[in-house]
Amino acid sequence: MPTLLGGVKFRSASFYTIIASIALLGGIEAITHNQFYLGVFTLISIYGVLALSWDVLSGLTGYLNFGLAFPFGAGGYTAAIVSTRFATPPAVAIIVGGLGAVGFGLLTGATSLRLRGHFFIMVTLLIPLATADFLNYALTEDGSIFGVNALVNNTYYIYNASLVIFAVAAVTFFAVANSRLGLVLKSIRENEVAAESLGINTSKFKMVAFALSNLFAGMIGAVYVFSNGVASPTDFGLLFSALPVFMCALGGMGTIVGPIIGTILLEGSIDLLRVNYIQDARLLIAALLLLLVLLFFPKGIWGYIKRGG
Amino acid sequence: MSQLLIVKDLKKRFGGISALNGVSFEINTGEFVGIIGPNGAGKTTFFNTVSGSLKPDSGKVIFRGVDITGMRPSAIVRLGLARTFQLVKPFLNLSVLENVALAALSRRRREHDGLSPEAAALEVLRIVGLEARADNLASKLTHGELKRLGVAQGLVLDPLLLLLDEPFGGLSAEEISIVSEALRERSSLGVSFVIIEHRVRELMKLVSRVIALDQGSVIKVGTPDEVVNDERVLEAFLGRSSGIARSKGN
Amino acid sequence: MVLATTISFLVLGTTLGVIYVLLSEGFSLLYGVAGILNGAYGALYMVTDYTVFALLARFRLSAPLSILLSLAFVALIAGFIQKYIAGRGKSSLEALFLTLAFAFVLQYLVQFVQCSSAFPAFCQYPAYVPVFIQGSTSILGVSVFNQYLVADAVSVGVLVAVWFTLTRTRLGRSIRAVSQDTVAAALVGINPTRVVILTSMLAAVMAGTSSVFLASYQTVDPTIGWSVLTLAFAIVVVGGLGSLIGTVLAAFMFAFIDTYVLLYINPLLAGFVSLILLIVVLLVRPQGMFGREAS
Repeated sequence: MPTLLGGVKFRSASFYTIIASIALLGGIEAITHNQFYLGVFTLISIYGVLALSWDVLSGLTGYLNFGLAFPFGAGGYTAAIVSTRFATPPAVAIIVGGLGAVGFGLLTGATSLRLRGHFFIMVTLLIPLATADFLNYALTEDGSIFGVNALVNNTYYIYNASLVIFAVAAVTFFAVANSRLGLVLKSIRENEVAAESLGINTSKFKMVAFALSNLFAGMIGAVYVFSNGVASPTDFGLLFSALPVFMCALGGMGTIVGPIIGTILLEGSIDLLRVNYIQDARLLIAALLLLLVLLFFPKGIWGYIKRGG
Repeated sequence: MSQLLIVKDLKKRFGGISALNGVSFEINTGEFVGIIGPNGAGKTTFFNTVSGSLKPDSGKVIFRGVDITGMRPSAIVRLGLARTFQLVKPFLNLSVLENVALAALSRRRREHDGLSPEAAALEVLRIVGLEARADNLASKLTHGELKRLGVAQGLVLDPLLLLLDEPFGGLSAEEISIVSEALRERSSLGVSFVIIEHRVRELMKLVSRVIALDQGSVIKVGTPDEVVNDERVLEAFLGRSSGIARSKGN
Repeated sequence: MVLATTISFLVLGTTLGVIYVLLSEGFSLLYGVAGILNGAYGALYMVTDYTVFALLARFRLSAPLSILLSLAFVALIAGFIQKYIAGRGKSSLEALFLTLAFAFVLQYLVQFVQCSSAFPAFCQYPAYVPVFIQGSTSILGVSVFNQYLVADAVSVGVLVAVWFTLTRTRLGRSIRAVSQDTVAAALVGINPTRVVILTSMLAAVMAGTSSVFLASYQTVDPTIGWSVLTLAFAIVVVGGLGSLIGTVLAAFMFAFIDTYVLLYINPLLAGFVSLILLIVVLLVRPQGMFGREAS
């Protein structure tokens, strides 16, 4: 494994983007105490983590995961359970949430990662939706876990937690993407059969990427639940699955810069376009923006810039 | 000489077609064996079932005493059996060096040679004459260079048995000589090879034993001379442009 | 009593099954011909619902007219999608991606039009399509809504018409040619792009027809497209991509399972059960019941 993580190059556009985005998000806190803006940038951090988590699996291996809401929600529920039942401190609960998402992900990954292309997309899409259905059925109180009150009005804690997880995720994924492990994952995207024939156990590596992806998605899902005070089936909603995908497609898949740019643009426009008539149309505008970029800049914005520059 | 590879009664059908009809033979350590046969004879299917890309319908493949039938390809590679493809499968958007370094990650010597995967890859690229192209994207290679890349990937794995599927297809005379030399060198170190080739003349210079396949069955096994002069082999090849008739009248 | 509930189960399952067949055959047809899974298929179903609602409730057109206009409208959208969106994808994965993105556009567009500050008047109408064929009939002692029966009749009619088109007309032969071998079809003078666009319009009509009748019994919601898409996908996969018979059998299988879960277990579990079935099939027999074996 040491060999796999070797060979990381630290001076590059990706690295600077990470530094810049962390500085930006961190700096906001120093500048303003406006709860609304703090909330917006918290959301940007949250989606940033989701987008990066998506990219480390799907951008690198080519397995397009349309069910990121599953680890997101699973992490949230795990954290809610340990927090309400065992009075675990939030920081610990968040980490446990991440681990819980990894654990549940072992089940979903073992089944879905054997499937290729379209099938993988559709099955992963279905899993969180079916889980929400199941929770509505299995748990009383609308399938939710209430009373996750440890951090409910603590905007600063939530903001900082999101920021920290974002920073760790960005650096981790940077290291992975630029290491030999990243190369192995990319080889799976380029030609899985060839990779397997060259001695690479593709199933094992797909699971590794999947687990990494789930870990951070789960942790940020826990943060989300703490910010709401409740874990509910809507945490498994389509939006949490689809938006990260589109943010990466917008920014450029398989890169570090791409998800970050995409998140800032898409989530930024969704949250900041709260101007009268445009407000209600903001999701529509975001979806249209996405469609146009996909049609005309198939490699995403960063992909387009790299190619031209 | 011990038996490195034992193939027992391999059968494989695709729908109505019987690609392998009960193929059996053995390869000994240090042997250099050729496989010939007309198109559709089952040669590539044979490689696929041995290397794990396909599961045979019945039969066994035993490598170094281990039953590897139906094992996954990457596990078989790690036991020391590797193969190259007739239509090379490079990682197009990665560099030539990265293409070979990826294979080098699984080489048998990796814990003993003290080299990084990239260094091991460069070594092999030198042997096949591609070191100048190390930083180029694989998508930019010519056909011959791509074939040599495939051979490099196979060699860097440091296998005990390497299966090569038409390594000379489309290569220039110079490229063929480079690759042949590389194979001969490895062979002298005790590595075993099985080569599928249509370019029979080049094949005969390398191998000590030839297996002729036709329609999924073995029709003749013997020295190059024996096989090339065999009635049934000639009948199978009659009318097909494999060069046997030409090399007979050599 | 047990007999009565069993008959009830069979009758309801069958009536639902016919509609599921129509729904999934549209998806399957498009996949067979275009070679792509159309992520906007569910959204087309949803748009038909809303268009019928708008025409019936706001513009007070008659039911048949509303339905016909909605179907025509949705067919046009489908053609647009195929020509300018899905058709632009350089691979089938890219096309799936693009159609999924467009499905979101449609969903948010409908949400925006249905209720937003730009169209305040609309918000007053909760979206529901009233039952437009009243009453119920007794079949084998089971009371079945007449609308379901008409839906079945219409579905069968549409399916027969589609079958007739596919086997007896030139367009149908072109469609079958393109689904077997696009390049060969082009070589004999068929324009595959045009055929695919026409097929997508046909598929939209099939989806729309099934939505029209089911709308009265469902909550009409901009997000229902996704459950429809996953249902159609699950049926086609379980039946086997490219097999007409497989799709029919799988459609009835899912209809009976859904009815069973609905009647005897819990409506909320239906989606979960479909998922389990789909996963099991994909793991055990990925080509479905009657699909061609993947190499």
